[in-house]
Amino acid sequence: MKTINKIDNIIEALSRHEDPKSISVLEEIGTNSEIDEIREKTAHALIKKNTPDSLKIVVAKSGKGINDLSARVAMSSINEILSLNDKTEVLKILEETMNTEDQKQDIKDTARSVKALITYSM
Amino acid sequence: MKITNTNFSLFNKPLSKEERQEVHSNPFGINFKGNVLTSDVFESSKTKESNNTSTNPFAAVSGKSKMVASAFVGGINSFNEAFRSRLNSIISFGRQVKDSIASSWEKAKNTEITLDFRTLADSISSKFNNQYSVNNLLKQPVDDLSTMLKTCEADYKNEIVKA
Repeated sequence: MKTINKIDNIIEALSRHEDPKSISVLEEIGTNSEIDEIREKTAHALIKKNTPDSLKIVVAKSGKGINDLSARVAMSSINEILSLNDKTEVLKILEETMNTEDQKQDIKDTARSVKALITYSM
Repeated sequence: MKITNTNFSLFNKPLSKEERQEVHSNPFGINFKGNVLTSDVFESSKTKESNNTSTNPFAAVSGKSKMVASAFVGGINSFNEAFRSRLNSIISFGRQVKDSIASSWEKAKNTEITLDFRTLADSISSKFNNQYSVNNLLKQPVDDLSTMLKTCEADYKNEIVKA
């Protein structure tokens, strides 16, 4: 089995794991990885979890998920959010991110853009 | 001109039995396997003589038609022979098939079939019981998955550097 396939399966297993520690593992190892591919897969896994804690990482944290420095990772995360069936949780997190006073302005702007995209796509 | 005055008939009516016998001099019957022979197969001595003496240019043509008819009869005979030989070859082929089935059945009866289930189970489980399959990974604790992810990430980094 190829290494990338192993990584794919581990991330998939972590995204389906019921243990809440799986989110912190994905954040520590996955979103901080030097490899774009792994960061992208981790962001997808966190969005698929669709929980407040997992969504906060990809929406409100600098350099992760929709705020990733790699355009490919950021755009892929936005696409994954747009393809969610239940968007209520992500809309709440986006709203919170936009209204948090001590949040960076660029993160707020990105959250506002993604929220507008979701609204138009609905 | 009236149509009733015309001498020729538009439709050839079929000949009666007597008429047919008059036309054909074949003493063995004018039917061959249900087919009516349209010309004499056997050359009469009369016509042979007349052919020798006459200067009629159409005499050669009538002789030819006899040859064609005899060739036709010969053709029927050769067809029958060919058909019979083919039938024989089909029958012999059928016999061969029957014999081979019988022999293979005897062989199968005398063959002992043994299945090594242990080896079979091992080979199947080695294919499906993959450590890195999602179902197996889900059964493992998150800490183990964390270690595995770190190891695989390091390996993948090395692979990228080497490439």
